Amino acid sequence: MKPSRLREEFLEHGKAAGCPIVDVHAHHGSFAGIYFPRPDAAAMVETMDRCGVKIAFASSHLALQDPLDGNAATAALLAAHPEHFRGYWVISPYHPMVPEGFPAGEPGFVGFKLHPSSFDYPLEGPGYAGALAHAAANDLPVLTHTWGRDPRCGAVNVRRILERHPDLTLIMGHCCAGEWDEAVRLVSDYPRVYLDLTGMYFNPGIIDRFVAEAGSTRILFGTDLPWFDPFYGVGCVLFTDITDDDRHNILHRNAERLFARWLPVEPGAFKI
Amino acid sequence: MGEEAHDRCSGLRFFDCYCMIGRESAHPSPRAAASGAELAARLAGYGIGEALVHHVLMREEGSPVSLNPETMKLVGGEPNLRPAWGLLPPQTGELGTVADLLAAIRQAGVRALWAYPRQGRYIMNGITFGELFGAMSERRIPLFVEADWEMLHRLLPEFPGLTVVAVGHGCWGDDRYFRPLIERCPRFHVDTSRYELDGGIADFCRRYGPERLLFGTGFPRFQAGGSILTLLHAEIPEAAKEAIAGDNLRRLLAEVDLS
Repeated sequence: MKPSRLREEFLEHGKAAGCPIVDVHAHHGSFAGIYFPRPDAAAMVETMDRCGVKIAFASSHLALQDPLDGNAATAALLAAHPEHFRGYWVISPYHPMVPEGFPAGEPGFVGFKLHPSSFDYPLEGPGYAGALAHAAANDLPVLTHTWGRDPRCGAVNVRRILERHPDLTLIMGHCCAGEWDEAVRLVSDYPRVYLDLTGMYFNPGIIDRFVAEAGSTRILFGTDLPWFDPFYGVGCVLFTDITDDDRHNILHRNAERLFARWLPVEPGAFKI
Repeated sequence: MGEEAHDRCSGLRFFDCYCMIGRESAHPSPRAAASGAELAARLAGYGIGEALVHHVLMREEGSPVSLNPETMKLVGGEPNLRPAWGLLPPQTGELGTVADLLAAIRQAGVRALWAYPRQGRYIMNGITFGELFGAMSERRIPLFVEADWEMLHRLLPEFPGLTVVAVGHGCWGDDRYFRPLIERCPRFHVDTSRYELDGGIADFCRRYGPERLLFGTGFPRFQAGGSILTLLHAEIPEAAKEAIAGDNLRRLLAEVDLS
C-alpha cells in the first residue's frame, strides 16, 4: 500500500485538520430494524466531532415512513444544530408535497431524499415526477436510495429519470449496490451523477475501481448515521490504494463543491 | 507503508481472527493472497501482525479434505499465520474419526476449526456433531462460523461449553440477534469485521466487557481498513482495545488443550 500522510494522521488522531469530512447521507432517530446506541441528534453530533465530520446532510427516519411528521422532525434537527446539519426533504410518492418555492422558507433544507424501496414505489413513477422536475429546474440535489436489481430503484430506474432530466444533480445512495458496471456507466453518461459510498465500503476493491473508472471527483462520503460509525468508511477509504488527493475528493472536496451554496463557509475553509 | 509505521500509529497488536488465504473462484478479490508470504505482506500493510487463517475456498465449494492440507502448505513458512482447518461430519469419515481429527490437528498445531454447514450440506446439531463438539468443548477448541443466528440460537444451548466465534455479521443491525446469545452462552463470541454500528463496540463493551469481541477483517472478503480504524478510535479504554485487537484470541488459542 502506498504511503499516505492522511492515513497516518487519521490513525494517530482520528481526524485530520486538512480533511474536514462532509457526510452527504445521514438520518436521525430510531428505526425498527436495528438497535442504535446513538440515534439522537446530540449523540450524532458527538460522533461527528469525534470523527472529524464537519457537517452531515440528513433526513429523519420518521420521514421515510411519514414525511408529513418526518420532515418536521428533520426541520427540528436543522434548527437545533444549524452548524452540523443540512436537510433533505423526503417525498412520499403517494402524497407528494413540495413546498412552494422550496427550499426557500424551509431553513436548512437543500434538496430531496427519495426512498423508492421504503415507499415501495418506482423511482420513475409519477409520484416522484414533480419533485424531480422541481429539483432539475432549480438546480437542487436529489439523494435517492438505489440498490442493484431492485425493480424500484435499480440502475435501470435511475437511467429512466436521467433520460428525462439529464442535468439533474443526482446522488446515488449506495451506488446501485451490486450493479457496479451500470453505476459507473451512469456516472459516465450523466455529468451530475455521483456515487455515494454509504454502506458499500466493505466491498473489497470497490473504491479503487470507482476511482479508476468514474474518477474520484464523482464519489461522495456518507454514513447513514446513526447506522454506521464514520470511522468504518473512513478506514476503508484510507486503506485503499488511491492518492491522498483522491481521498480528499471523496471525503470532503466534492461535497463542498456540490453543496457550496448551503455550507457555512467557503469550500475548503473548514477547520477542525 | 510498513508494519512498523502502523504499529507506531496504532500501538495495537492486531491478531486477525477472520482471515482467508487463496483466491476465490467466483468474483475474486483484487487483494486476495495466494501464498503465505503474500498474505503476510498484505496484512503488514494494514499493520496486522498475526492472523488465524483458513482457506477461502471453504466459503465456496472447496472441501476441507483437500483444503486443510493446502492451508498447511500455504501458511507453513509464516510463523505469524496460524492455520485453522475445516470440519466435516464424522459419520462420513472423510476426516477420519473424531479421535483421528484431534490427533491430526495436534500434529499440525491447529488450534481452531471452521464449519461451513451450508456449503458442506450438514446440520449443526448434536445428532451430527455431538461427539466432536463434546470433545472440542472439553479441549476448548474454538469453532468459527459465519453468522447464522437461527442456527446458533439452536446450537449454542445444546453445547453451552463450546467456544464459538461468529464472524462477519451483517452491518444492518444484528445486535438483537447476537446479544441474547452473549448473555446466555458464556463462551460465545462475535468478531468485529462488519461491526459498523455507530457506537456499537463501545456500547457492547459497557454492557458485556471487551472479552467477547474479537478483531477480524474478513480479508479478502471485506475491506480491512474499516474494522481497523473503528476499533482504533472506539470510545473504550486502551486495555479493552488491546483485548479485542488480539489478546482475546491469543487467550482462546492458549486455552486449547491438545494433549
